Amino acid sequence: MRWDPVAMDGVIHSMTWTRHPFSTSMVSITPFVSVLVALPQAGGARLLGTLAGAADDSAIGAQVEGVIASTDEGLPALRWKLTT
Amino acid sequence: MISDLRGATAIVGVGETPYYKRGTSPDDEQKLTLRAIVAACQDAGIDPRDVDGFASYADDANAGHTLIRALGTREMRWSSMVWGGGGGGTLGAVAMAAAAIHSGQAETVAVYRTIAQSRSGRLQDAVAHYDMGAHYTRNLISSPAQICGLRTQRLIAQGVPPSAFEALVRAQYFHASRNPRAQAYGKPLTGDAYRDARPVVDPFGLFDCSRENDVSVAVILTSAARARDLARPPVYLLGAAQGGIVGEAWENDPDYSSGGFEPIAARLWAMTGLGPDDVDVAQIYDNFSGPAVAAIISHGLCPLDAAGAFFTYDNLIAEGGLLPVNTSGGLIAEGNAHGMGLVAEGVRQLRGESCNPVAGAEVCLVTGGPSTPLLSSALLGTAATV
Repeated sequence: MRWDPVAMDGVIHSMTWTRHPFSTSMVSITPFVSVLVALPQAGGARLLGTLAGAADDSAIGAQVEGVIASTDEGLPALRWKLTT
Repeated sequence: MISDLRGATAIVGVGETPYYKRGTSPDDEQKLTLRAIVAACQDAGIDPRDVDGFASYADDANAGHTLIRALGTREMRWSSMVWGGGGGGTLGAVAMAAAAIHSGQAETVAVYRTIAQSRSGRLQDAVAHYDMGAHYTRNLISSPAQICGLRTQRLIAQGVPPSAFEALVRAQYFHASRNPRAQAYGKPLTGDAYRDARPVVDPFGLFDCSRENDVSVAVILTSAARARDLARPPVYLLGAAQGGIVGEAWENDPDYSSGGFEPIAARLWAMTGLGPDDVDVAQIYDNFSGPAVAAIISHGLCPLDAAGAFFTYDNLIAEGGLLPVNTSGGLIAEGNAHGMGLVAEGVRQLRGESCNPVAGAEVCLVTGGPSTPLLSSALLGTAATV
């Protein structure tokens, strides 16, 4: 049992527009796209995240690449961008 | 193999407080709980002091031993909790009461759920706290609505049309409009009003979302033998099962669109000798419209590829519907007792006391908590089914 690094290239397994700010950290960014991203190179394992950047072309099946961002509290967080 | 539990116990009493708007209950949680249990005992025609067991779920704060002094309990013999933060434990709690009675460890068990914001905070926060850890919140997922939205978008991609959700919500509002207990009493919902609602999380608008209330709902279970001597027509527990969907990690269960009830439904049919075609009416846990539709599909009541034709307003209402669903209005339109209101309505329906009676109904499916690792379902039946 070990951890192997994999590329952060994924496919949107599901996505939805979050339009209501459920927490104070969402107020300034709603609406935004929440995604569940599958990583084919990791056996299809799925990760939750938020789509950053242009989101109008987001759809189930779209290709994305991930970046490690930081929350206001300094915690690592997953943000995904559409790749063309 | 048919289970020994089939028809061995029955629900003999139902009691509840009004569905207060969240944060407005005149009483604290303990008093709400006592009101509901005493009302259920009065309905059953039994002395509240004779309740010797207590069962709840979702980390309800009102443990049996905190109630017995006020109830005057003669002897508490059973007190138990189904773990979990969501409504998935609803029918698990009913099953636990039945197991206690059938094994001789208790005779008369109250199953209840009480929520008051003054004690337990916002229900959506309590559920999120339990099931949604830091890897959710730091990625800006902090409400069950978002996870249910993601799952429902996948259900739509699998071929279930959004018209299914509208049909279910409008059927529930129709039922609630005729139910004086309901938040939506006197308020049927038009298709235009549904579609014009404030968006929450795609594909959900405001009316796709359940309410939050201060409320307590209780039912009383006892043995079938004792039930037959009591005031009300017994509503028998034919079978109940709990469990859930399992993946390698959270949000990694194999079919992300599923309501997740496939293994539970299989056990339910096996232990009762019944099947999807035997269900006359269903009370389906509806935190949001999409998961309720998924729950119905994953119980095998409707094939996924037929969902568009099946989920119509006419098919889902009590008057002549193919499968009347949530005949009290459900969590979306009656009010949210975290699932116990669905149990109460199942009992009323089989007694012929529902505000939206289904002609000739003998078997009622009741479900708790779609698309989580903790789910439960039960089949209730009239005397004709045992």
